[in-house]
Amino acid sequence: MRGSYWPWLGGGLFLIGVIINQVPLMLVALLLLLVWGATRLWERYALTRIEYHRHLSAKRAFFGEELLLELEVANRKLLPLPWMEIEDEMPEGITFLKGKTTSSHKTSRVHLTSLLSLSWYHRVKRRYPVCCDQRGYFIFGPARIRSGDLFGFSKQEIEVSDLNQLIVYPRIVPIEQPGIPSKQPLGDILVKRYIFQDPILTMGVRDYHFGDSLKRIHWKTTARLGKLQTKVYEPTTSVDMGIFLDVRTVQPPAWGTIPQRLELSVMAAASIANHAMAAGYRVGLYANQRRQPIGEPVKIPPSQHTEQLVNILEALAQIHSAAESMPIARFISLESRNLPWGSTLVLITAMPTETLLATLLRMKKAGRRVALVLIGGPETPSIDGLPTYRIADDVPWREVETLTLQGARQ
Amino acid sequence: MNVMVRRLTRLNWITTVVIPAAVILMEVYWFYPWFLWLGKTGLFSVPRAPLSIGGVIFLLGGGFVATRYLLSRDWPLSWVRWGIILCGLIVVFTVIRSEYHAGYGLLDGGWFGYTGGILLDFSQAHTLMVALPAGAYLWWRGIRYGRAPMYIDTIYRNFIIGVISFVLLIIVWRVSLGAGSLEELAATVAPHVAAFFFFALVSLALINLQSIRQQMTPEDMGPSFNRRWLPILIAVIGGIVLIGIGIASIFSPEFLAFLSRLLGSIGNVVRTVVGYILIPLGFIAAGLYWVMAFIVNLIRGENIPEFEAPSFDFEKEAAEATQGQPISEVIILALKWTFFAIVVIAVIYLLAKTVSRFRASRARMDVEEVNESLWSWGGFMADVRLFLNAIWQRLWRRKRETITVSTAPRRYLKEDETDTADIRTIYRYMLRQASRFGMGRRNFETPYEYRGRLGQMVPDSSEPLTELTDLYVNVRYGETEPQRRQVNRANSLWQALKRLLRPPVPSHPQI
Repeated sequence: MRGSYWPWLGGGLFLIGVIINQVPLMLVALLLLLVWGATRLWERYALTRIEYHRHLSAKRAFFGEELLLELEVANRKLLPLPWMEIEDEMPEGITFLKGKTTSSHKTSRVHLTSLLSLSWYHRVKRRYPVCCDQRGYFIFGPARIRSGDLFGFSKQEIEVSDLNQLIVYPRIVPIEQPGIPSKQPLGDILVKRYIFQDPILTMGVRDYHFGDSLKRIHWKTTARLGKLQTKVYEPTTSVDMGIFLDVRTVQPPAWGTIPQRLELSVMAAASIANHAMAAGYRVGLYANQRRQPIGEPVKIPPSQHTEQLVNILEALAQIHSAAESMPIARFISLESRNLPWGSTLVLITAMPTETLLATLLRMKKAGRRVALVLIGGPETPSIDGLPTYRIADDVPWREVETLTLQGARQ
Repeated sequence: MNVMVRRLTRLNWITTVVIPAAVILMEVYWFYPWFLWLGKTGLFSVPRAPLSIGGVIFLLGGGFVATRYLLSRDWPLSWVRWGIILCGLIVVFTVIRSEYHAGYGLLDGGWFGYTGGILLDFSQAHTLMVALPAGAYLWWRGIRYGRAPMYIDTIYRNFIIGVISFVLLIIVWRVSLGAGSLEELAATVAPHVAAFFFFALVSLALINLQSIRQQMTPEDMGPSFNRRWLPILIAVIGGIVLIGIGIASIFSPEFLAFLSRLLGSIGNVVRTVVGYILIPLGFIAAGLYWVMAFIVNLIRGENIPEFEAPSFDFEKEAAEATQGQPISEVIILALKWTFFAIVVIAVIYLLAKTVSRFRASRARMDVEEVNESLWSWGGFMADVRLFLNAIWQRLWRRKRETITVSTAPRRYLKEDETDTADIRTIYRYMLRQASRFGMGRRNFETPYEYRGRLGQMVPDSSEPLTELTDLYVNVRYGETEPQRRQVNRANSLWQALKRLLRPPVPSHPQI
């Protein structure tokens, strides 16, 4: 800190000034002491009773949606702050429509800096409109707040470690299937409509008939009416679909990611999930990667819950460019065991290795319903008995309006 | 015209105009009192300052402006060098010629003969002999400021030089002019000290803010930033200087009397200015009164009254108020120059603000900013109470600590003072210290449970507490002989913890 010796100098001069009765000397000393005192005051209290909050208008957003980021800083004390610098860490993937960000030493991070001047008991809110034009799981913060005295003698800094999360869902586009011989693009599973009863959805009660399971008796109604009543469940015709997403986009053993292919894969998974749920499937999602930042594997069992699509989109939003957790061939072999036998397995991959194709054919031969969706490649390969589709990667993923599933000529 | 407007709009007024002006005034106010002293020493045939305050400003400012301007041209360095020297000669000559004209006309060649005679007359010293080298030195100082951007380190160093210079001047003044000149010293140097500190602090604050701003983009700065920091700057620096003057005046009746006269003079000037502003308003009011009286009398059929011009005798009042011991002309001159400089800076600043409204960058959509006041009397009073309470608690706690320590067992004090207590003893110290503040260990608590609870109550203590607890548990229950470095570590941890263990209330006053 500059001026650390001022109290000694000022005190000494003041004493001399008093002894020899020199007002100018006393004035010099007093002014030195006052300036030193003022700087000490700021040094000690500049960052006390400072409140900093970051608020996003939504925690989840669809691709392309605009949100409002509000930064709020309050000085709840008598000491005004002539300057306060707030350096807030922001994700690079979020576009600021107003305001400017600067680069950070951390990868995929930028800094949003604000310079403010706060009076006593004063609060400032700054609102930044942001555009979510990239899917992902984004973390806002931490922030560093700097302030100090007026003269630059000392500077203090604190870190506000509060974080805000934002999940931007991947793009969902309509699916088209020109020239596909099969009525259903993802196999013939809808032809066979099984009628199940869902024990969770109780439609009503009826009188007990001989042979009804005791588990189905509605005991409360039975007690009220004085005769046995059996629950009647709602019928369901749902069929399971497991979407398997391969995050590898380059030929093994190379490492790396081709963003265009990865984004197309994610977009395809989201669009197929959306399409299939609208068609009455119970859809699940599996990806050979761990979610960031918690490290959970991406495994969402098929369900028709109203939140299921949101769960799938959230998981897809968290797919990142890091390497896969295991090869997709092994992953699909392991995870398919947990899926009901009648369910359809849809694999989306940009790197169909021979091992993978062999695995899929083996599953097909074992009686499972399998469909392969390839991302990129020159043309749709014809694989013996395996429904295969291709999504062209020649158009940048941001400009894709519809996903065209080009089927193989059988 | 358009080019000029474009240049003006792109100009950074604070960096280009306001900061240099403040720095130059800072220099002027520590340099000029030396000239005043020289004029009073009686060393020279004419008792006057070698250069007036205007001359000092002109030389310093001229050197700065000429250097900045010539360096901004795309000229070879040798041309720039010669240009600065030439400008320097012209400016020094102009200042000397105007201050030492001795009644000669502007184009009168006799002046050169007169000046040459003074300079070559070694029998008696003349202030002109000092004015010439001083003029060259001031020009050189202006060049030094102009040749490079102003950094906070440079200004800070020059501020310290100024402070040292004042201390030296006061000593030299007293030694050379004796104790009889104390009142004159107070009345002459003290205002310069105040002005020097004001401009030095303004320069430091502006350069500090400018250096912070330079790291930012225009979008980073909230619209309220530029509106708010200037009043804070003026209020804080003005407050410091005024408080300093106020306290200093307690110690000197002469200085207090001088200040009251000074304030009275300033008040008269303000009254005169306000009076002149009120003249037209007074005439309008008198005219309106006359018109109303005219209409009323016309309706009543009475005589039309005569118009009576209002009388303004504020000049007389001001003259009466200034009677008594006159203020030194030097001070009045310094005040005038300061006032002039402040007015010029204010006008330039306002012009700059007006021009900057038309900046193209203003067309962009600014980030929305909402400013809210959280002020309330209730909150303010609560803060004041909290502040006083914190001070009281701090004093009371110190007293209590002193009593407790003095009544503690001798053994405890003796061990606590050593730096090499063993780990179990240190842990006992910690338990005692914590229990004194109501954070003692409960009977059912394990060391780890206690660590967790204490860590929550005492901020920043978790890390040393965890380490000390681990060391203690190893020694107490592990039946292992602690190594020397572990004992040392426990001692250093205890030193850190000792400072942290405080009553669980906010211990520092809230401002």
